[in-house]
Amino acid sequence: MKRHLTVIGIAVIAGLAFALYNLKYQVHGLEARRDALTQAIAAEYESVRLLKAEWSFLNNPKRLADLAKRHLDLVPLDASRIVSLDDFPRVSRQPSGESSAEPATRDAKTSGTGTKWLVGAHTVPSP
Amino acid sequence: MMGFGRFRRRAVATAKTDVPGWRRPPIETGRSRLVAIGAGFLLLLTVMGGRLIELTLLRDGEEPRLTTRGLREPIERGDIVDRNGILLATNLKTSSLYANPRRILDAGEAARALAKVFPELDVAEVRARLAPDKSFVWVKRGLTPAEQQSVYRLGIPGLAFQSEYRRVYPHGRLAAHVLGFANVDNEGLAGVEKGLDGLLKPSVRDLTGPLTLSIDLRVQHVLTEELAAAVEAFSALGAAGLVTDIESGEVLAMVSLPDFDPNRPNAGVKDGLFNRATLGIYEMGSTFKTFTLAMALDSGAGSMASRYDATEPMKISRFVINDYHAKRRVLTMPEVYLYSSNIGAAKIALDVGTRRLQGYLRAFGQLDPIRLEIPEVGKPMSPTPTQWREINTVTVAFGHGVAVSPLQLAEGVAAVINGGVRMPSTLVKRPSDAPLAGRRVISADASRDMRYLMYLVVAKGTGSKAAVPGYNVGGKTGTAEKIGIGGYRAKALLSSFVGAFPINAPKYLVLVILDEPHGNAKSQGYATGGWTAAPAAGRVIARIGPLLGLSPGAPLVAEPDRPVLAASAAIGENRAPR
Repeated sequence: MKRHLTVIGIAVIAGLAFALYNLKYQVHGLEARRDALTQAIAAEYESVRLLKAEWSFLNNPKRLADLAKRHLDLVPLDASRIVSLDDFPRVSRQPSGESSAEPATRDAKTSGTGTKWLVGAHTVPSP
Repeated sequence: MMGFGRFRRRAVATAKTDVPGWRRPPIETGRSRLVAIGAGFLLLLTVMGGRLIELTLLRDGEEPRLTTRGLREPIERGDIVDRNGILLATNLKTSSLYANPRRILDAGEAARALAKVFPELDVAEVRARLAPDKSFVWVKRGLTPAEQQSVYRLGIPGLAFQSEYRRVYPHGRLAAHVLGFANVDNEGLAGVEKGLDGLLKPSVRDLTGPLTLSIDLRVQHVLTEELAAAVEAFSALGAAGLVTDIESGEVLAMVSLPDFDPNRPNAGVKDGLFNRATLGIYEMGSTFKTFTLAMALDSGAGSMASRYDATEPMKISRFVINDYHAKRRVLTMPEVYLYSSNIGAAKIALDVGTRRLQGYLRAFGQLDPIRLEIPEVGKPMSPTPTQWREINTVTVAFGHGVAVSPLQLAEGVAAVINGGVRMPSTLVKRPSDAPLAGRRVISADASRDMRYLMYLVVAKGTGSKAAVPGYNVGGKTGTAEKIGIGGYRAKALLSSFVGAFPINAPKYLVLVILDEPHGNAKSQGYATGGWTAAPAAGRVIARIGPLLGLSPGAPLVAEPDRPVLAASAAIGENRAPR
């Protein structure tokens, strides 16, 4: 009985020691991995900062204006291109075949249903 | 086992304790000590076990905190963004080159090699720096990766790199005077970088994110471009420009030309660092009549129907006041403004009286330095109250004798037309829910009349070149002669235009000032505000109006007798979502 207990005790201690040893090395490994990851993440943060700066640099209004001038047919928006719903002729909404042939009427109908694309750029109601 | 022992001990004890001369056997002593030690260990183990249970089961683990520790390197200085979140200033890691002179074999050779990589370095100077018996000297800070590679390739022992954060301004010259700059040690030296240095320190910034300015980079770009074009066209010395939000006092764009590159603040022209928009103070000329008329209308010293005789030049002591656009007849109050009559303005000022005029100018913020987030704020110049004579009242009426900074003028004019409330200027974006705290300086009625007058100037008067189809612009031109040695210089002008749009319910103020413009063929040789600054302001308004989301309004109908502009659009009523 006594001997058994001793043997079991020694076995348990050996087992525990081994487990502890193992765990310790696992933790070592994990720590090394964590440090590597931390460094990688820090480097990643640094590149994000760099890319943000780069993005801001590339979005320089002067550069964009130059690119738009060279590659696009677009021109800056001027006031004459902004119209409000009141600028369209008001028409009756009777479903008659003749009136819908007129372009102005069609515009008015589109707007009448609540389509807001015409005034998409507005954030301020006209004074 | 234990049972036996106890039994045996008790048996022995009963037999021997009362025997005189008996001594405890050593085995007994050893056993009781063993028990004491065992109890001690048991206690310790219990404590440890309890602690183990507490750490593992009862407490929240520290792991989440530990895992994020050390992920972000401490940011040395906070970012600065514009009102739409575009990055204006940030820190990037760069390498700085230092040397350990003790390990350098031949300082002369090293210096020559380094000068090949960095042409701006002076060979003799570098050599002197590398010679002494020290272990650390900076050679060059803030290297680009390409430069770093070239230095590696030199293969000189004793040179090494240290990574450092360096302040970078991605947009270069754009908004340079607003941002200012920071030195290699990340200390702000000018502009917002200096004025709000405390806010940009890492301990503060980590918690609150980047510093958001009131500047709109798009507007800043438009203003810079148009001012640069005007400077070029009229071969002016420089220019200053402002776009401000009339209701909140936020500065959307602030330009001073010539400017500088904050990435290389000392590389450009010497004049470039000077901020004309806030530090420069100038006698503004006729734009100041805005204040003269506003105080007359508010105090009741004059009304829209008042008449002023401008047939003859006015004589005050030894001075003669003349009109530039002389009409030689009796002018109404609107006409005084419309034709920018110095005689009329002088008479209005005399009606208001010196004491009240000073009080109003102080309320408009023209006599004290304005408060702004940058250190470059000019102190206005005016006669002290004891020096102030009648002639000063007369000349101040048309903008001579008092010198103010452009931003100061803008703040005062905004107060005159926004319903009469002076809003402190700011370069930092106001939270949209922050209450607007201004101080009333004139009545809403007087403000409405002033809007009408400014509208007339652009519709029919000297400011007609600032008119923009689709936007109702109102404003006032100004042309002042600059002071030279021994008096005013007729050929050295400061031409300006201050305007607002839409003038019936003003949202934005635009101020353009050109320093010594010269007339060209397009301006028929004129260098006055109406011919040089007003067209530039008009182009700025035409471009930023749609950008800022303002819908065009129908043209207003101008009738001299009956103001048609929107009734007292007081602050708050016309606040639009932004």
